Parts: sequence; C-alpha cells; structure tokens
Amino acid sequence: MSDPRFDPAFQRGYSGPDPELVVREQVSSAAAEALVESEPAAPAVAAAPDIVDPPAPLAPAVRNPYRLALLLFGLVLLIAAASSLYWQVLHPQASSTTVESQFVEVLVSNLPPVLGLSGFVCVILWLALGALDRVTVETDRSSD
Amino acid sequence: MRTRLIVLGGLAVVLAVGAVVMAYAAAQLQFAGQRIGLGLSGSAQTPADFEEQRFLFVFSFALQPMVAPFVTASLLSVAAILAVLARRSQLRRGQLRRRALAR
Repeated sequence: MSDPRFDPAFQRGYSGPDPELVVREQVSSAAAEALVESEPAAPAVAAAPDIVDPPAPLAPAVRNPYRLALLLFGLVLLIAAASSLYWQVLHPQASSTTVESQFVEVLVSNLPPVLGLSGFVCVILWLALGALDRVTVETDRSSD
Repeated sequence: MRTRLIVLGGLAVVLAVGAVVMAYAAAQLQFAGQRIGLGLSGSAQTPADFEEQRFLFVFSFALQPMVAPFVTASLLSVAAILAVLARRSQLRRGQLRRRALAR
C-alpha cells in the first residue's frame, strides 16, 4: 500500500467520505478477514461477545476509587486528630517565646476537634455512599 | 458540575489559607501583648501600655476561635468534592448497568 499522506482523501479540497471512517472500515474489514482466515468457525467467534459479557447485575462490584479516597481521607484526618491530641498532652501549654511557637500552639489547640469532626464526616459520607449504591443496585434488580 | 467542583476546590484552598493567616495573626498579637506585659520594650509601663496590651489580647482571643470553623469548612469542602465524584461515578455505573439490561 502507498503512503497514506499522498492519498487524495487527505488532500485539501477533498469532498469525499470521511478519511478516518474509511480507514476504520478498512481496518475492521481487514481484522474480520484475519479472523475468518485464522478461525474457520466464524459464527462461534461472532457470537462470543454476547456469551462472554455477563449481564451487568451479575458482574462483580467495581470498587469506586473516589469512595475509597474518601475513606482514606477520613482515616488520615482521624489519625491526625489523635496525633495532635497526643502532641497537646506531651506539650501542655509550653512557655512559647517566639511567634512561630505561639502559631503552632494556636493551630494545635484548635486542630483535634476539627480534624476529628471532619474525619467522622468523611467516614459517614463513605457509609452513606455505600448504602446509596446498594439501594440503586437492589432497585435495578427488583425492576427486572 | 465541573465548575462547581472547581469552586469547591478553590473554596477549600482559600479557607485553609485564611485559617493559617488568622492563626498567625492571633499568634503575633498574643506575642506583642506578652512583650508589652513583660516590659521587654525597656521603658516602664504606662496606662497606655496596659490599654494596648488589653487591646492586643482581646483581638488575639477573638481571632483564635475563628480558626477552627475555617479549617473545618476547608476539610469538608475536600470531602464534598470526593463525595460528589464518588456519587457521579456510582450514577454512571448505574446508567451503564441499566443500558446493558435494556439491550
């Protein structure tokens, strides 16, 4: 086959069929020919996708990465809350002589409840999303 | 939806920066008040110094409780972004499932 760049379909002013469609059709027909040539039982190959693809409700549940990220974020926040609480116990109102140490003191004194609250909200959201997903799947199954 | 997610992300960043700035300002005010209280400026304390110290401490203690809501709102914005993305992913999967069933 000649270089496709010199094909009239790729030249300016061409008004024929879409070159990409033509190429796709050529590729698909070539693939079909290859299949037919390599596999004599062509009807079985053609019917394979319907058999291999199981009905969606029976497919294994795909993990939702964002939901997992929400859980991880919540757990990290809860661990950070526990750590800052531990820090407060270790350094109870140490006499701060610089602005930086007072800044850390202000932040650390405010953080444990905030981090704990946010962490619990994340875990609750994770549970709620799981429940919503389950409700959706069960509704789909019952409507079959 | 994409714009709203970007707004939520921006809000999270702005609130986090606001919380840090507020905590730093509170720390600086408290530090300045302590310096006046300890007489580190060198001269004897006057009633005006006491008044200034009181003013600095009042502002510092007014700023400190504001840090917590700002940090909370920032963290909840991040959580909301993740929750919205997770729900959208769930709905898309549900749509695909329904389409597969309809076929």
